[in-house]
Amino acid sequence: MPNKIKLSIPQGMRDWLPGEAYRKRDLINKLLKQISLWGYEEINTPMLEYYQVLLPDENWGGAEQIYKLVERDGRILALRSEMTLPIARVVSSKLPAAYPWRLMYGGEVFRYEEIQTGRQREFSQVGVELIGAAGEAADSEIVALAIETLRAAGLDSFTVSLGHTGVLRGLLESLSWEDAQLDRVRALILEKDFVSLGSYLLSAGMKEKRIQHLVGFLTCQLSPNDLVKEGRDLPQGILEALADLQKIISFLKRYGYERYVQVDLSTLRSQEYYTGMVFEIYTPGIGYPIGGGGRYDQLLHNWGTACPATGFALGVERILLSLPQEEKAKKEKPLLLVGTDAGKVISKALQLRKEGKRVFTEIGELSRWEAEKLALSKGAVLSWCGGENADEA
Amino acid sequence: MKHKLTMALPKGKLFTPAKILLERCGFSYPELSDQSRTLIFTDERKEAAYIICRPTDIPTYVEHGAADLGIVGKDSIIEAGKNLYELVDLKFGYCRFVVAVPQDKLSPEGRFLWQPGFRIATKFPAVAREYLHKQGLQAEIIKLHGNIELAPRVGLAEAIVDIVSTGRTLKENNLVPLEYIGEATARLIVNRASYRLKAQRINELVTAIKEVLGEGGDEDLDSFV
Repeated sequence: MPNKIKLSIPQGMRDWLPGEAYRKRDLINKLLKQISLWGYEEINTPMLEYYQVLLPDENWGGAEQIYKLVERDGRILALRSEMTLPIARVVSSKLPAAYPWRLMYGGEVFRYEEIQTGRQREFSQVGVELIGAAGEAADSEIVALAIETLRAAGLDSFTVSLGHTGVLRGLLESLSWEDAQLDRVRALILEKDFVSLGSYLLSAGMKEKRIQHLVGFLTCQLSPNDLVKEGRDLPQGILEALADLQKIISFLKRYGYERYVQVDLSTLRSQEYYTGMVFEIYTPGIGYPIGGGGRYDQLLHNWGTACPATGFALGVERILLSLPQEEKAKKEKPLLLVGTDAGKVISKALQLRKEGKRVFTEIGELSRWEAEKLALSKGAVLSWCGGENADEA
Repeated sequence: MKHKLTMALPKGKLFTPAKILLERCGFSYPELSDQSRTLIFTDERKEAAYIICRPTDIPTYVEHGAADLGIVGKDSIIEAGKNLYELVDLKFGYCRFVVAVPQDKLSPEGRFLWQPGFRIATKFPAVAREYLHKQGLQAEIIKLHGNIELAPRVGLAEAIVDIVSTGRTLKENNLVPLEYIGEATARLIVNRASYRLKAQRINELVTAIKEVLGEGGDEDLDSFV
């Protein structure tokens, strides 16, 4: 009996078998091709990084999700858990300051997390970073590009949920409370436990009416046309965030993509590096976002470069799950060339491949039945080349 | 049915008040029962479906989007630790987390002395771990799926962490509460994708629930627990 370990793979990893591997590659190519139309250039970074690159600030969450290894010299390595941090490292250390940089990537990342539909512990992301560009033009470019990229992949039914980290920041700043209390409020909002948030604010002395207004504001979809008006009576920091979102939305209208966008201030990303607008993309039938991103103006400081930036990442496996089935299987059948004369078969195959056909060969004495069976099992079109059963391909 | 709302409802004591609450919010479906062999009910008229499942599984159904929303006790939500929207405190099904120990293990002054190597039996390992961490105590946690009060009697554990509403079960098993470490009531939880994609229907339901609860219906609902 074969050893069980020898045949199994670690939890959260998966093999991509013929067919599904093709569909994944095809999707990644389509996404990257669309993105490149916007002038983005591909960049690759190593699968292994120093741990500190992926967790530049010890206070950030997510440390337990990172796969770690020890280098021979004793330093801690990690499998990349996302792409934004490695790219920020590259931009800070290897690229000239010829901003803005428009960069794109497609590759696997690793996160030690609970396995869900469409999210294993190794998964693929396609994304972009627009580095060295501030303001609503850059932010709306990122959102519009995400929308257009998903459409190019064949997805049309999805919603971009737009939020802003300034809302949470503005709220916390407006409360003249102790740090421990603010941490608690922040944690409850990030956990989206709006019930405990309400009762905590009440116990901390906030008036019930104000709590209702505030929690209602955080949990309602807002009309994207008059955000600042919706936020009246709220702290200044929140109003500034709303004004920023308003500008982004007015840009998105020029792209003609406002129908995909809704404003939802409970949209918060788990990464601590976001500083401005953030967004998540949802599609019916998948219980998690299929992509997301936002502005991160402070991140490059970690590597000594002060530079605003914004970007997004899409979850390739999740998009595959949400695509209609027929979108998945559009591939011309290959040709199976069968014959006994090796010279004839090989030269015929070479010629067909030059014409761009996909061809594989079987040289030998095959009966018609054997050849047909083989072609069927590989989903190929059978063609004879010489031999007794010659059809003349 | 693009706008169909799928709701996960808990079997057991929270089922009846949950059903009545939904009825009062206009989601009346008399066939709904947690005793039947059917576990999925579809109400075409209201474009709603109901999944009946174990309370501890409800956060999982909702997190993965198999259900758009769910009604479940805060105790199950805490333990599950899922990424969910917790929108409304439904007020019924109140209970408390308690650390309890056998009466006869108390010192004459009524104190309980934690010793290294002690074990805590519980359905709520995350809650128990949090308690131990806060108290700076060390104990082995033994996860059970029910009848926690049995564990100290048969020598499986020295203490338990459980939820109690009246405390009768504790008394019947000669257990005394050492400390209450949290409260729980039923909550409305929502999947984060559904929360965006079916915003209008969910907001309508949330508003209706808040109106029903605002009428003082909450105490009334508790009588069905």
